[in-house]
Amino acid sequence: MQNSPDTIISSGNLVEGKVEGSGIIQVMGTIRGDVILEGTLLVDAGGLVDGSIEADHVLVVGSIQGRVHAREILEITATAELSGTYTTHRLIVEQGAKINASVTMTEDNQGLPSGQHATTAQAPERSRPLSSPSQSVFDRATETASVPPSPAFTRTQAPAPTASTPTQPPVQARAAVAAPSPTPTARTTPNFHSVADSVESTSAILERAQAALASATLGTTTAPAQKDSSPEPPPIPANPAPPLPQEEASVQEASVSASVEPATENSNKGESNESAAPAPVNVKAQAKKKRAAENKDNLTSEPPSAASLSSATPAESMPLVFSEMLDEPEGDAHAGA
Amino acid sequence: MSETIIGKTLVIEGEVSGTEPLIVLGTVKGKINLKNSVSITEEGCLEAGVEASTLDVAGVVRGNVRVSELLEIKPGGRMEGDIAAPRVLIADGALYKGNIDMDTTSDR
Repeated sequence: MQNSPDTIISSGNLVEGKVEGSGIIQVMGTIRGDVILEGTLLVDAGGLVDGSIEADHVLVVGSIQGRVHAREILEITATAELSGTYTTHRLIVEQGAKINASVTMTEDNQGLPSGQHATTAQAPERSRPLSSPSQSVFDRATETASVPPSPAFTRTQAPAPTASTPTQPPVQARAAVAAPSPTPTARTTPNFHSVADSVESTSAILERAQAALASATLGTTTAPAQKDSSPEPPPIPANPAPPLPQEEASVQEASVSASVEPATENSNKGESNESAAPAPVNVKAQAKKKRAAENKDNLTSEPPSAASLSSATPAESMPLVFSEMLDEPEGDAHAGA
Repeated sequence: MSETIIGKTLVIEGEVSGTEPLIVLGTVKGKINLKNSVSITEEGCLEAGVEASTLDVAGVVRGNVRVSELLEIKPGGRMEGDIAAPRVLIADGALYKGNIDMDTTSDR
């Protein structure tokens, strides 16, 4: 222990005489005589000092009889019993102390005031909160000696934490915790990219849908404007419907012959068979003739709607089989004329 | 067992009595009357008569000593005075000057 006493007068021993020295003296026994000390005199419980005492700091738990001059502070605890004349710079008296003495308080700790004695039946008492019982007496003595004089009577004068201090770390912690919150924006970037991709795919889908719609209305197939990795709907077949085999052959022959004639007729234009509008009309007429001849031989009926064919609009020219099929039932086609 | 310890810087001019052991690191001038052991350390100085049960001298003792059990003067110890003790032990290196009476049965 750092504040261990230098001299201990045990409870069973008696010192009679003059005690002079320095340091800390703990009296648990009895001292009858004068004590001149440059330090702290602790009269512990059960201790008795009968004589004059002159020390820097006097802490009384037991009993003192005689004159006491405390250069710095005289501290009287609740179990103390004092009688005599006391002179001190600072005085602390706890509730419960028994005092029958005259007390004089000096302005400084240098010496006694000349001719000034306050004779009172009881010393002025200023209550002070008791320290913790577990606190060592020596700790109390040293703390009291080190504490500067102040109207406050609290032993421990550690600064109390302010209200804001404990909250600051939590605030900072909250800030630190809140800091990661913006990071989810980093997460959004991949979402953003995925959205962009989805947007692109959506536009492609729209284009394909439009193309399909156009092809469905026009009867032509158009290749999709953009080919994406995303799955595409099945392409629209070149021919909306497969023609019948027999009629298909006749139509193909008609188309072949038609392809030759328009090529010769329209050689200047250089148009293909597919795009020439008047060509299908001539093809139809020739096809009718051939069929009529064939029908006589093969009992194939003429398309009754030759006029309808001739009057067919260019929009309706492509699906020749369809128009023929629509005009004549399937049974009649094979039945013959 | 609580001991009385006289610090290095303390000087007692008077009498120390009691039933508890005494260890002197400082100076005691006067008389020591204990019904227990007294130990004078190397720094201790006793200028007094000692009456105790045992006495260990490692420091300096100037005075008459009556011991009921054992008196030991340790190496480096110095003693000047008469010794009345049934048992006396003076170590090599100790200094002693005085009279020794080991017959305690007879009253003085």
